[in-house]
Amino acid sequence: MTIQEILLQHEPEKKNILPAIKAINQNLSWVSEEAIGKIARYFGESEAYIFSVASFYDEINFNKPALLTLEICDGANCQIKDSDNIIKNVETFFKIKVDSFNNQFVLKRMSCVGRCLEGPVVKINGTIYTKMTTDKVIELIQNYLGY
Amino acid sequence: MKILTKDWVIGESLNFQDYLKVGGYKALRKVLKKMKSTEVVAELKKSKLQGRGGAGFSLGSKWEIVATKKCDQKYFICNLDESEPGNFKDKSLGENSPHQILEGMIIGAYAVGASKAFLYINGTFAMAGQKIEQAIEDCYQNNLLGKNILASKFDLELEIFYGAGAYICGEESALINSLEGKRGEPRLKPPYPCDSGLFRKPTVVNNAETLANVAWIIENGAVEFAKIGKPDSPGTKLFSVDGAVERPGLYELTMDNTIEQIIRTAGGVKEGFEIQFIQVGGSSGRIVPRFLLSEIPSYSRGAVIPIGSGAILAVSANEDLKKILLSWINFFQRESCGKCVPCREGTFRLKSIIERLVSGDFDQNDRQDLHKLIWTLDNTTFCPLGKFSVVALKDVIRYKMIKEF
Ligand SMILES: Cc1cc2nc3c(=O)[nH]c(=O)nc-3n(C[C@H](O)[C@H](O)[C@H](O)COP(=O)(O)O)c2cc1C
Ligand code: SF4
Ligand code: FES
Repeated sequence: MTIQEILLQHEPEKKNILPAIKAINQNLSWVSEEAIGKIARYFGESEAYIFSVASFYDEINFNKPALLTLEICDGANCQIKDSDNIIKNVETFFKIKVDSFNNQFVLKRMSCVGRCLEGPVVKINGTIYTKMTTDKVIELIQNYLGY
Repeated sequence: MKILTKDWVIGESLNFQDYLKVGGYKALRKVLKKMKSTEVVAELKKSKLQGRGGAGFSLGSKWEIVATKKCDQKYFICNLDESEPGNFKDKSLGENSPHQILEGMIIGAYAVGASKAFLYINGTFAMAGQKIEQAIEDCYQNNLLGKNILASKFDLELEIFYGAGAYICGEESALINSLEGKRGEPRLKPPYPCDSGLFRKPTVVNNAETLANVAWIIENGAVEFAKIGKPDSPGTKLFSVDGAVERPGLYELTMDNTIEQIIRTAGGVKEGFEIQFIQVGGSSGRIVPRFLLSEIPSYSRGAVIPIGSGAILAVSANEDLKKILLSWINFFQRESCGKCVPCREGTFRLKSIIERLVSGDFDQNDRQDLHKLIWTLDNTTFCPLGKFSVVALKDVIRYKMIKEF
């Protein structure tokens, strides 16, 4: 779907701004400057306003998505199930730092998603995986990256 | 004694037919056929049902304020943003029994005179969202939503709205801003949402678990409800129990259980482990050291252990408390909405201090700064999130759990 097609599914009312931003983010995996411009025109708001709303939420992406985005829950419940070690091990194994960005691989911490009982929980490109171990995470990443 | 989970079948969701079979929408029928809106409000006030979103404000009093407002448009909002770490009770409610929440919302909207309702749900709750969307559709098809509900004069439109990953949007005024298509920052209070909420109209915001109690109270009576649990904190509560217990899970218990009893319900302390402390209410919750395990967590005024959202995390003696401190502060630093300086900068500074504590570089300057920062976050932030960020930390200091402090 194009940006315009997604926009047209939403009535141009203020309360539909976030749903429209979310829909674009979901369908196209990110919200580009071009998209911000189109959303602004559609809802009759300034680009600055749309960007200020969109950038408020963790879910919205403003960079062309990396090949792989790995988010690891660092909530206390996952933490005591060893999520911290998974973060460290992934950092070492892939020579990457948490919260650093490159267009191949992004590693982030994320907040609790309510799946604590099945922790540690990670999200890869938006899909949640539960009961993770370092080995499982590394295997998943390698599958995603097609090693 | 169970109210919320009595009809749940593990691993299955009560769909529309199932819900009718266990007496669903009987309460709504009773309300629309036999009760004036003022009677509904009075009944709930009498039940002393308190908000399960954390603060424990009386649901009846909140409804009364909005019900007595003369206004062309009022709104009713269900808060299912649940994102306090360690909580999964509202999510489970949405997945297992979505109609229970909707019935509470419809009754509530009738009681306060709202013709438009929203259910604000955490954007990551895909399964619960799907169940709720189906439930809303079933309601529209069966004349439980829309025009002239159950052949009465009452009309209600109800929509689901997905959040996009922001803890602060669980705070009611931030939630309202988010719904309005604005940044999800909290508003200055007063005015409270009851006076000036969504689109500046009188608005009720209630937690999903709170609302799931409503139908039962209408059917069984406020008097019966008030008998359950503690007199000043009646009813049952959903506890999300996790950590060093034999059977982590979601438990519904009456609100007169001690922390020890809650742990016992979850199978007791895990074999071979010893409890370091229990945290009640998620990352913004109080720390309960071993000598306080016989306290009853509740919504009573002045409760030693406020129940909050009801997350129970049993932390064993094997865990490194410093790392858990880091998990807490990482969360608050990330979720600080950035509107006010003490929280935006304070959580950031606090995080670097705790990082130094973990790496062994904590020094005298950090110690001084730590205490100043705690005071600042506790006393000067715009909304309660700043205060939340140091609740557990203050307990860690109070109980001398970290020698460097
Ligand atoms: C930072 C912050 C986060 C909150 N998160 C939630 C939440 O996720 N769910 C919720 O129901 N209430 C949350 N609340 C409380 C709401 O502001 C509000 O009090 C509640 O939804 C009212 O419903 P109740 O009276 O039924 O509890 C939060 C409050 C604060 C300050
Ligand atoms: S205390 Fe934190 S979350 Fe609340 S308004 Fe200030 S910056 Fe935002
Ligand atoms: S703490 Fe990780 S999902 Fe809840």
